[in-house]
Amino acid sequence: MQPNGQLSRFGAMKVALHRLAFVVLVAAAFGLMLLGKADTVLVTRLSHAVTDALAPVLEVMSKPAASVGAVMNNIRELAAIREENARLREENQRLLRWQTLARQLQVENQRLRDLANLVPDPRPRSITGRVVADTGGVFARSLLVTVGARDGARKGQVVVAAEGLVGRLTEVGARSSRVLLLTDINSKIPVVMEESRARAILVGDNSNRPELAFLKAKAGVSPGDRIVTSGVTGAFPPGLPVGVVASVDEGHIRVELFIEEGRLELVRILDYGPDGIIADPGPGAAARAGTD
Amino acid sequence: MRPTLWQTLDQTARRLIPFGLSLLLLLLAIVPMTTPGFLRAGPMITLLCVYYWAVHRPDMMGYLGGFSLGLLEDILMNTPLGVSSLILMLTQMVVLTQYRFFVGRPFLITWWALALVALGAILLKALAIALLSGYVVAPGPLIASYVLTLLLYPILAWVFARTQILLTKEP
Repeated sequence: MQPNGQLSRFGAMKVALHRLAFVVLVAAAFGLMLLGKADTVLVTRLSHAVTDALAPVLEVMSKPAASVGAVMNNIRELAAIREENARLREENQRLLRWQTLARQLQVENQRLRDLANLVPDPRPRSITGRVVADTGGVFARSLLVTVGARDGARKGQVVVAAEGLVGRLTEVGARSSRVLLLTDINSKIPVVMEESRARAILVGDNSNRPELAFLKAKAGVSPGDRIVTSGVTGAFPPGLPVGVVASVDEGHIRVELFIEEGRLELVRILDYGPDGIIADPGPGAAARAGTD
Repeated sequence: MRPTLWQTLDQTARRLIPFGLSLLLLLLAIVPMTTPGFLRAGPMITLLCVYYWAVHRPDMMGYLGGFSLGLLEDILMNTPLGVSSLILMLTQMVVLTQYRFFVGRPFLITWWALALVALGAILLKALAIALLSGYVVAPGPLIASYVLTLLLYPILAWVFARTQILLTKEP
């Protein structure tokens, strides 16, 4: 009888401990919610430590994944190589004509700039980072990249890919950073319609196509219109390609981004130096204000 | 009989495997390029992990495991801290209190029960995030995530079942 009684007492203690663990941990979860809401240094440090520790692991994992993806792409491309070739040849001819035009315009633009004594936009240094995690989901959309404070990354810096704007850095750890994507529900960036120069705000909502809000002249907008950053607030440099209008219905304008968020491998982080995009108001400030 | 040091180490290692495997799956789900486009709908991988072990071997992943997995998920996914931990532990609690229902049931029954548990979990998560961050997630993506979570369960359950067989093997 004795061992049995001991066993049941042991069992009861185990159950009690188990319940206690549940209560303590649920309290801890609520505590974390409050701490996170207060945006304390502790929480930031914790998440930086975790992402910094996991970034190398994710990097190792992403390399074979990238090669598998590349092989799959190769197979897919081989199947359509003939049509692709014909299409590219045609596109090449068209682009060559554009190139000639662009050269002429570049020369003309340079002459006009010289005439107007225009202060050139600051040229950024860029840091290239590998995308190691794409946490696109229902509740938040962001990337983790292998560039951190030790590489010169800072919170708020603009992130671009070859095709266009990706987003901006919201958290910077020592070795890794988080890029808030344009589709994230917290992303709101000032943009401008390339043709009409009408200003608007591109608002993410965790869907693949962010919405164009606060646009005054909605009447003239039609699918296919290009959208670029406006640089109004100084957070983004003006003229970065963002996307095209995908659909217009009942006042809701949806934008198809130039980048494919799920397929980014490398991104560039634009570094405008310690002054940011808005440099010190120096002798050229008046001239710049006049051109904005 | 007191277990030897080797046996204790062996037991500890075995207990860590379900958590390690869940973490690996969580990381795999966010590595770019591996996932075809549809995975961007965001299936609740950690919920599936926690659910499986709570149903089949509750001793292998306790509340601390659920809490830690949720915390890592929130940090990686950039969702408010604590939300996933809470949801995962509530899932464990629901399954454990209904243990008599789950024990020895065929797969289809546990899958059906998952449909209910996951529905509660995703709605609660959306509600918690709405309260904490002040934004409401559109129903479309929520449904997509829910359906994908349910569809992934048989695959993950198979992987976990293999692992479970390995874990229960005598050394």
